[in-house]
Amino acid sequence: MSELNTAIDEIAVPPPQKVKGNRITYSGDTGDVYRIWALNVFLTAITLGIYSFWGKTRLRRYVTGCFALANDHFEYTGTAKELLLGFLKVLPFFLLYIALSVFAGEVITGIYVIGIMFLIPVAIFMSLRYRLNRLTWRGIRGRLSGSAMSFGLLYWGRYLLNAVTLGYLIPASDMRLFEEVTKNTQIGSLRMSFKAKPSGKLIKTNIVTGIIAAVIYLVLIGGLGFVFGASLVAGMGLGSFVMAAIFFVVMIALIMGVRGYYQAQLRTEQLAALRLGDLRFRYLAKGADVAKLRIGNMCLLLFTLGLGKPLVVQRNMRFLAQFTLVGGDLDNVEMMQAAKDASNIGEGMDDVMGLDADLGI
Amino acid sequence: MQFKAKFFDGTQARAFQVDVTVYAAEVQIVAEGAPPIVWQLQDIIILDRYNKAHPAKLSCKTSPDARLVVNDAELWLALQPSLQTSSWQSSRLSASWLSILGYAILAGLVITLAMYHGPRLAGHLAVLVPENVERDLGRDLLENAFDSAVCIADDGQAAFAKLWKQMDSGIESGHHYIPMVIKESDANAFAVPGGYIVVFSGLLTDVQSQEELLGILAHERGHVAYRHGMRAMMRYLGLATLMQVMLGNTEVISSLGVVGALRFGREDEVEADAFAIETLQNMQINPTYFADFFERRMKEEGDRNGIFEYLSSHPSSDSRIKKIRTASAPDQRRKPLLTEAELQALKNICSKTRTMKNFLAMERAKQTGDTP
Repeated sequence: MSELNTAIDEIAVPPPQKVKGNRITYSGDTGDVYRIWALNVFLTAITLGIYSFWGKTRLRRYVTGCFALANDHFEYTGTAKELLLGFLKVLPFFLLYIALSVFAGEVITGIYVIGIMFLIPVAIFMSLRYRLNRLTWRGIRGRLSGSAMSFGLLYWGRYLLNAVTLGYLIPASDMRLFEEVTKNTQIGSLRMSFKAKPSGKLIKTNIVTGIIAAVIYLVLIGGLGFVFGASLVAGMGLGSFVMAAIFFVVMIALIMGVRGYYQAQLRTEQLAALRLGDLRFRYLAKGADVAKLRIGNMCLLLFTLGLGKPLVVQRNMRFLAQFTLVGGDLDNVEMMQAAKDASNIGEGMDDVMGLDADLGI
Repeated sequence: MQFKAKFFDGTQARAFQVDVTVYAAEVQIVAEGAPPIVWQLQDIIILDRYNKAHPAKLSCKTSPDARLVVNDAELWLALQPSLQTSSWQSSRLSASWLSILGYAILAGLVITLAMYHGPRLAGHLAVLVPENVERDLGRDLLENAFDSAVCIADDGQAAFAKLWKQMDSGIESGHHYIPMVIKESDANAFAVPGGYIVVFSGLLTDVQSQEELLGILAHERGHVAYRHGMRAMMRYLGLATLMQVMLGNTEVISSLGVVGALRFGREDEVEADAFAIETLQNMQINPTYFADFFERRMKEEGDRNGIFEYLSSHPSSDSRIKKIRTASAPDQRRKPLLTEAELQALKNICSKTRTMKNFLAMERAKQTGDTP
């Protein structure tokens, strides 16, 4: 914590210049998040899903409104109607695909699956765009422009490169995707800029954690193979099933924890090179912090049968606030209002696909 | 009423310290050296109430990007009576835990009703699925889920066909059946959408009489006649969609719905048993032979009673046996349909086999008139 406090006082950016560090705060109350979540679950069930758009909007508004920078709170200005319209706009397209997959042949179904796969990053980019366009701070709107299709192509191109190089190019790809999003991001009149290559440390972290994760994965596959093989011979009792399940959970948690070290280093380098006008950023979490967060979240969801989701939301939000610093003079920041996004349609595709996730960039 | 507050004009991120004066119908906001801004009280939007973690935030319909921030509890209390006509967009939840409990009870009722009626409605939609689509589905299922060889020894097939043809005199349902024997040692049989009836070769050696075998085959014919396979698929799809729509991504809770769906599986089994009993009665065969099979299986494997019956897709053997034994029976035992030699040939039907893929391709060619 002492390191964190020192970092809050000052962020060292290319010496000798030093700028004031501003901490992001999060004031969300776990009881409030639980009440909103519980009401969402029950009303969504009662209204056969219709309320989910209102529920999602309410939770986003609450969580976003609990973040503050320089004592000024953020706002989420999206509406449930926009989400509903976005959903309805995309729904026929997916219903048609479902009909094709039932009544058409394997070729069409194959094209369908490939199409859906391609659309995942496109949908997530569109969702990010919608959410950023509905984010305001001091009444100033955020904005994400750029083509979602181009992002989808870049994502899959990079994915292919990562696969061909057995993961060696993951850091370069992650930096490039981050650049693609940030170069199209504005807060008011200020446009973000980012230009950086992965450091030797990031590349090394990727290799080391990648190898450890692969070894754990092989142990997991081998272990499960052994358990199921033995169960074919001797039958599987409840005890051995529980042991296999625990083994699976522990191994997956270990993989997530180990890769948390890479994630921490990646974020550190991404935020260090990110600019918004004169504003700079810093990520303070270490590998162990990210590993603890990920493993804790997984355990919370598993052991509460999904009922711990509000706790996971709270942990993620507090983590984001605790470990992110914004450097610069926010009282005198030259930031003018951005043009309003003309679209009144929500993320749509992300909703239909049920992704509700980010790309980790 | 007058007070000082923080103000953002909606055109820039700079904060202004302003003097605010509240009149009967409007609020006047004055920043040093700037002309006053007037917000009508009825145009004001309350974005957030004051609480200890959060200042109150107001906006106005005429300048929706502007924000007036009130960070004082007493001021906020004093201001509230003037904001009676203002609109409200806060994300803060006003529902209490008690009202949430009320919603929870209501949700529980709706989910129970949906689990009860939803799958049944979806099951009825099975009649809308064209037969050729159903057959394609069944074929895909067999091709992908079973790599067992199909038994095709000539004498055995002839005996099996003879047995099958005799069953048409039981109940003519008008359905196209595609029976097959596959090389599997278990004593089992099942029906797949599209009229496919799969008999494990182990069953042919396990049954103690031809009548027992006829009972099981008649039961599977019942599943085809009532399109149980297709209906089960539609029910599962319907239930999965309902649970997903109603409960979103809470997979663990959604999976509880599957237990509800099992009840329909048990109903299907009872219906197929009734079909088998009627078939046997029409063939002048005593249905108790059919019960003998379950009785033997129960002795070998034990039975599921009580709570376990509710967690199963089949009714307990005990309850099935009781129903079958109470059915009326012909006075005399009918002469066996197959001769001893034919029965032996049937048991040896797996002396010649064909892959499932080839068998299905030939069967499909027979349907369409194409060359496989």
